[in-house]
Amino acid sequence: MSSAESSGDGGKWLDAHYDPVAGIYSFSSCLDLADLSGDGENRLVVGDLGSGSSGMKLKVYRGTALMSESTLLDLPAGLVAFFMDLHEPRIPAVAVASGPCIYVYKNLRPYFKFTLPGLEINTLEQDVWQQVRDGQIDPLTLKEMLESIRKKADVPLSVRSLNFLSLELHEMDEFVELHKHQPIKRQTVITCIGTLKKNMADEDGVSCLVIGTESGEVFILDPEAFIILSKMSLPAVPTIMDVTGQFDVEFRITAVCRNGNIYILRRESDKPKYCIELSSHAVGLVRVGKNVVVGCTDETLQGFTQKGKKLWKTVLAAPITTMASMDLPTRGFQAVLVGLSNCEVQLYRDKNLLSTIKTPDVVTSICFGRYGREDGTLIVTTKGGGLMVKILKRTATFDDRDSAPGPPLAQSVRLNVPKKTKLYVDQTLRERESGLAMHRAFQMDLSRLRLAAAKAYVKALESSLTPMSASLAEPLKMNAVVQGLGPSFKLTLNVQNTAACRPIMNLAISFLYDESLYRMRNPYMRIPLLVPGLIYPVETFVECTSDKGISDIIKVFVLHEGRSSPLLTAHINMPVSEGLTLN
Amino acid sequence: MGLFDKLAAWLGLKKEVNVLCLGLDNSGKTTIINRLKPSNAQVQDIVPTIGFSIEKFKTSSLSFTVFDMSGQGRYRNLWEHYYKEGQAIIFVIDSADKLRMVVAKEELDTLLNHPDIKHRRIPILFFANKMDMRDALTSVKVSQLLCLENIKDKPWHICATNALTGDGLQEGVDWLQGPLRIHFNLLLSYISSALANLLLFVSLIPNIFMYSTVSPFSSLHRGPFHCRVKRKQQQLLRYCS
Ligand SMILES: Nc1nc2c(ncn2[C@@H]2O[C@H](COP(=O)(O)OP(=O)(O)OP(=O)(O)O)[C@@H](O)[C@H]2O)c(=O)[nH]1
Ligand SMILES: [Mg+2]
Repeated sequence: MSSAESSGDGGKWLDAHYDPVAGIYSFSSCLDLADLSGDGENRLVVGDLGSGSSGMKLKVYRGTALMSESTLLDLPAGLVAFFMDLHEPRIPAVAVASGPCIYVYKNLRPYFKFTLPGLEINTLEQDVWQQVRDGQIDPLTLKEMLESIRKKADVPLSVRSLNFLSLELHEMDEFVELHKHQPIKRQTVITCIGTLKKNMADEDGVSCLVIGTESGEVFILDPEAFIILSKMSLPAVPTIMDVTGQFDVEFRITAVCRNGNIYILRRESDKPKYCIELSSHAVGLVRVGKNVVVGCTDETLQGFTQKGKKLWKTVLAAPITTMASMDLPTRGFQAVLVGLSNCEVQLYRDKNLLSTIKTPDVVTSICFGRYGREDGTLIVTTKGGGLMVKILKRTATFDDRDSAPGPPLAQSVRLNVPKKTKLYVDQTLRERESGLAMHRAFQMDLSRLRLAAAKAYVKALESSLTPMSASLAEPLKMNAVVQGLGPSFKLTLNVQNTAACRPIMNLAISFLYDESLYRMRNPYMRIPLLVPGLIYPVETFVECTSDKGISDIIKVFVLHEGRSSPLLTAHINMPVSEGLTLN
Repeated sequence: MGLFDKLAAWLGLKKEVNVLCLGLDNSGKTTIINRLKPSNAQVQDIVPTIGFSIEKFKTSSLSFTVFDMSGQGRYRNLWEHYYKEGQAIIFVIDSADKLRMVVAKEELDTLLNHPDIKHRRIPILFFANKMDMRDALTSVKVSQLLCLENIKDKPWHICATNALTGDGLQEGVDWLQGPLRIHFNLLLSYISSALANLLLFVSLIPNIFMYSTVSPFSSLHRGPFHCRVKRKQQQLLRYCS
């Protein structure tokens, strides 16, 4: 229980098996599940890439144990199990695509090898080699001619010619002697493989093989005779393919290509019908019902319709390593498993994250389906060669919490809005009838208000009523503080020269007040030189002479010697002298 | 054999016990039950059970009615509908299926935590079946993987079996009779004393005795229960289809 909890999947999966040193190095395209013995128990077939240069193997697992292992001649590009025929017992064959060939295994024994047809050869190139064979030209001329062919040719050179061009002078003779008598061949290699039901949708219906090649072509092969039934071409090299439908009825091949586009091929035409241009390259493609889900290198998962219309996009926490479909027809459940490089496998239904499985290592391949006798089995292989099998609990359910930001729940709660009053209705009617006039009246008032405000502002500037001086020569700022309860108050005026560097001289402060109410020690003061930036407090004392509990305004003027209009004016609202009222 | 058993045997009447046979699909439940039936009632080929089937077999003192449930995932939710009626459980495990041992454990845990089972001292017999298979786990290993030592409040027993030859089955059934006898002593004493009284009464009136054989009593005894089972069976079959 606790281990299930700590693995962070909400206890939905049972840990059936984990072998961290299984030594499987493979990708999702090289994994398949099939009942290879016809006993109702599915096996796991793995095309193991080994170290990449050696140790390529075809491995078959039964339950927790490796059941058989056979050596592969070349790196597997893809592996599928498929029914070739209707013979009893119904045992599927395994097709392994590597290089230009498909190796078909039946009962785990090599059964048939299919090789892709050679590509068209440049006739000029052929002629040149013919001349070499006849001894008409020497290797140096050959090199020149091949180089000129390479530059202008529309049909690329063969591998042999390309190899020749890369040689040093002294190696050429030997190479030519060795190869000149063999015919030139140009061969492509298989990049991806899939299966397509021939004419029955049944689980065990006979299937055609569908292969994508480095030459940008898609071939459909007859399962029994291994002849090419159909050939289609793509604008770029396909790397991942999804095939659905039936060959004789209607089918659809969705191919992710190396140019960053996805092309959708259909039965009627040998050219793509639709194209999806991705903003970044695709890492994985999974079909869910009629839509496809694409995982891209920019850490996003995107959904498209089968016609290429974008449905949604969601951003993931880490780069995608691999993807697989999770299809449980018995429960009517379909979702997408996404392996991330932060050691997680996430399960998405559309753009909603349903569950996360933590893995001890980065996942390199995922396969979901019936393994052994258990329908909901998740098989995962890791970067370090580990094999992990998890079984979905019978009682597990995935709730679709929609993580997309939408209106909060509270928004849909109905408020108890009071009924419309008669006044409200009358006003609404009035607004509806004379909306134009109301708007005009409002605009006029608004303009008047603005005018009045502007006038007042201009006046204030003209009479220096603001606490900031408007004159550019003497930029000044002043504020006044009144302290004390009365009858004696302390009046502090903070004067600041806001100029950047120029000092101001010859300033004075004078006060204007009602002499019957207040008495001031010195109503006229000279201000020292004002250094820019510093605040100069100018203090004076005011005495309230009235005992009637009334207050008045004291006006402060900052004056410049020799000028009649003040630089600054401030009105100080004097507080009521409480010292007197208390008595 | 206790006094009551003797009495019951003398009456030709055996204690009826309802047993639930549970376990994953392909574990060998049907094969085991088929083995336990009298040899003339055994069938040759066994197919995966759909829904469930009811089988009967007898031992010297007990008469078993076995509910052979299907172990397939989609039918496992039927199991719990029979927990109330079951008086004993046979849980079959395919010891060769290591991969699904976790699934068996999960189903067992669900069973043990079900409200109809949790607080009852219902005996559970585990058959670690298919012990003949090359890669089969031992019964000790199976009980470890299923954490059987954690079952503290119910009598349980595990035996390694081979349903194809019948090895180990008898040992299990013999064990099952023990807890069931204890469990039924009280009930049996009631039934047998009632029966003894009746018998006395009946033997006093010979002309009634003429046409009241023992079987009416037994059918009286199981009448309502069987009706219930029949009804439920019909309901479930409708539900499954
Ligand atoms: N080798 C071996 N095979 C067994 C044994 N017991 C059963 N089998 C085989 O296992 C298979 C499944 O047996 P079933 O009795 O149908 O299994 P079940 O538990 O009733 O399965 P469901 O009805 O689907 O739940 C059959 O092919 C049996 O022959 C055993 O002890 N050893
Ligand atoms: Mg059965």
